[in-house]
Amino acid sequence: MVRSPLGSCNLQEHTFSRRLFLQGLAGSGLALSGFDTLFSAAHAQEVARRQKHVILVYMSGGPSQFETWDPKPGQRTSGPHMTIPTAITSVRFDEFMPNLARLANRMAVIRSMSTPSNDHVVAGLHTQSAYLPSPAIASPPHWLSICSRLLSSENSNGLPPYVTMGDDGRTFPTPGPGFLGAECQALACPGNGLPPSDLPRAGEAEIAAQDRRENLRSQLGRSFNQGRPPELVESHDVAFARMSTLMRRQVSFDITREPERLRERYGASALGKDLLLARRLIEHGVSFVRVQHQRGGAWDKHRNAFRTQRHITAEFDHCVSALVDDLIDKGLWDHTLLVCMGEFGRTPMINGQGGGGRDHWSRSWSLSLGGSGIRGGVVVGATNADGTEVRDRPVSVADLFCTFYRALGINHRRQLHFRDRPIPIVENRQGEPINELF
Amino acid sequence: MRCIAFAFAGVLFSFCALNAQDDPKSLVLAKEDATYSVPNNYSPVRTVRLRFHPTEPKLIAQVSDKRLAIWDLNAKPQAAKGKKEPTVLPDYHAEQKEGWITGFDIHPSGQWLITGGSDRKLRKWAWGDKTKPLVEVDGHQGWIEAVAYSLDGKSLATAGSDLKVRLWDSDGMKSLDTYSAHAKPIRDLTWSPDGKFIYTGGEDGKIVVYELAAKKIVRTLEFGNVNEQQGQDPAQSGVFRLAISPDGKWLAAAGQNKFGLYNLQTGNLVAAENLGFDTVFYPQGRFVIAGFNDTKVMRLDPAKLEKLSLDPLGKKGKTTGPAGDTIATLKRNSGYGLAVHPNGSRVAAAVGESTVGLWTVTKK
Repeated sequence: MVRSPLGSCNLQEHTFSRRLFLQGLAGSGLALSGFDTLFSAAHAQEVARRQKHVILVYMSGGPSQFETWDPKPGQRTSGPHMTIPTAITSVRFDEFMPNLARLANRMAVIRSMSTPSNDHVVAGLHTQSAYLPSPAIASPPHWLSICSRLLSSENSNGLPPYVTMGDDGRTFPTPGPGFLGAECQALACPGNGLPPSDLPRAGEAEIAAQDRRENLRSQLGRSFNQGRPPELVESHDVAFARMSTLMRRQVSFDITREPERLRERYGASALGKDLLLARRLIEHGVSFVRVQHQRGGAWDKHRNAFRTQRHITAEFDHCVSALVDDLIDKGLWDHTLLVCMGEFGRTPMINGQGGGGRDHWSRSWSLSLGGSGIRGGVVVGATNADGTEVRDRPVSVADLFCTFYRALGINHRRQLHFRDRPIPIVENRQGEPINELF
Repeated sequence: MRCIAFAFAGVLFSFCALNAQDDPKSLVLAKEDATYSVPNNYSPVRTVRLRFHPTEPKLIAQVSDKRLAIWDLNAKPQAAKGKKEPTVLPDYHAEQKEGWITGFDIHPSGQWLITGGSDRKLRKWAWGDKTKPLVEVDGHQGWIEAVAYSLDGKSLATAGSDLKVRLWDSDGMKSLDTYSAHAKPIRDLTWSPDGKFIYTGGEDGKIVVYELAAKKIVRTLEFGNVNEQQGQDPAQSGVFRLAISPDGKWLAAAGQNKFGLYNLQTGNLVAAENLGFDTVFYPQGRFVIAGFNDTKVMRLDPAKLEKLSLDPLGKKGKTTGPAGDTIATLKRNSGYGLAVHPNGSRVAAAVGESTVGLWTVTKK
């Protein structure tokens, strides 16, 4: 049994009791100063901050807003998909999202995203780093790498703070840790609910062999490290240390230990297994998980879109709704930010390519988020009648990241430093949090 | 009403007479000059299915829209926006408010149209009356994927993405029977010429044979070509179109890059080629038409085919044998839709995403 720094014997129960305790404090308005001997205010804030998690469900390729969260029934821009009512009065979703329609009062929807790029690579980097890529600056970190730097939890149970699933990196690049170094690099799982590839078997002999190798690496590296930037040396040492401890934590990656009923609820798809693994990892101490829905640009439906969209949307609906229900049931919802988005939306015009589809469209598109204090049932912004333009309350990438960071208790004006150079976590310190969501 | 009955009887009579007397040895297909196009409706509109009107010079198309497109085959081509050459533009019919028309058929008499939509509704329209449907009923609990009248026009069958097949009295549109036939959405259906069997093909790669009198599934044929519809541009899964020969002995099935011909007496697959999407039988003789960009017109040799039995789930895309001698090839350039006039005088096929071409058929 691994003990947390606060001495709890059971991480899950411990986390729960702290959460309730802190909520109680907030609710009753008690001054923290009266509990100095138990918790200092700073310590309490730190603990609360540490408890934040993120699950990013990345809909690579750009999901159609018309066939998800912003349908336009009967308009010239609508396709064959029908719409259904949701738990929010007068708000309708695509017909293949019945479960997310049921949960609409838990999640929020932004229908007025307006972003500059229609290119997969540029938009993918922008919407995952808050920086438009430029040859003049070094690659910015993924926002979850930034979160793992700023919210790194001591309660990680030996697990890495940031894990990705199902991202083969072959179709479109995903931002890495950038200048934050290997310490903030995600641990990559191959997807389909599988643990990291090539992880050695976790027997006593294998662990002992790994420890010997790590000692040898550490000794041989001492002379090499001298005179080199200490932050880089430390970053690499941390990464190796995590790999060693990871061997002892393989059970956290084993979704077959989840109850059968729950596994059935998530379903047999790769997304279902990955989201179950994401929830399990979060429960075991991982803070941030990026799950890619199907390989490549699966949501990039230029051709034969509307029939195939039925399958991917229904799978997304089934699996993500299972995750939301599970996070709520396990008491994780209030401190887990769930974000479902791609890099842009799809054109109002339906193109003529084989079987019909929609092209890239960044002028007016949608995404959904919830948990971690985000008000459920809120629809931010609106597009015009046929969805060709944002009508109300445009939301920029900077606004979106300011919102993410606020939900996680991070000052969105904060700067990181790379070789003494200040680098804002949101490009040019632009944007404002979407206040309607809090 | 009496006139309609006589007209219908006349069509059936001439149909039967042709079947009995006309058994061409070969066909010659000549491409006609005129093309028939669907203009953009804000977005480009594509053809999906085609049917000839049985008694009037009209061609009907299910297109990616909430309406059917109907061309007058005697109309003169005219200049049209976005088209390089003059073309015939359509009139529209059978408009629904939301969703698209996802299946349709015309009654053998030509008096009624039936449309099924992604809105789950089944609508019966009087030919020529655009104003409102004669009957509108709840059809399925999913998109209505296919609609087909029986050859005598008395019955109607529909198939849906709800995995169900429903039988209807075509006069009053009363539901007569419902059965489950597939594990994935059904894409097409056809009747046996004698009206005793219904054949359905689905994304699950199965062809299901249902006997109406016994009210049960009597055979399931393997077509294969199944995929899980994952990724950016997944191939069409399973069966896309079905057609049955006029003598009821042969069933043709087409999917993406796959065509199969089945002997319905034995259930054996007797031919399989890399031909995609569309297939239809010529109404006289033994000719089957199948393919996409290069659509083959093939003359069947029953004596030879009856001896064959191929592995229906052989290696994907593997050519295991042609259905017959290729007597003509229709050059197309993508686009779905293939139809033969009930009297065999013309073949229509999409020659582009939104353009249809016609071929005049001479029997030899």
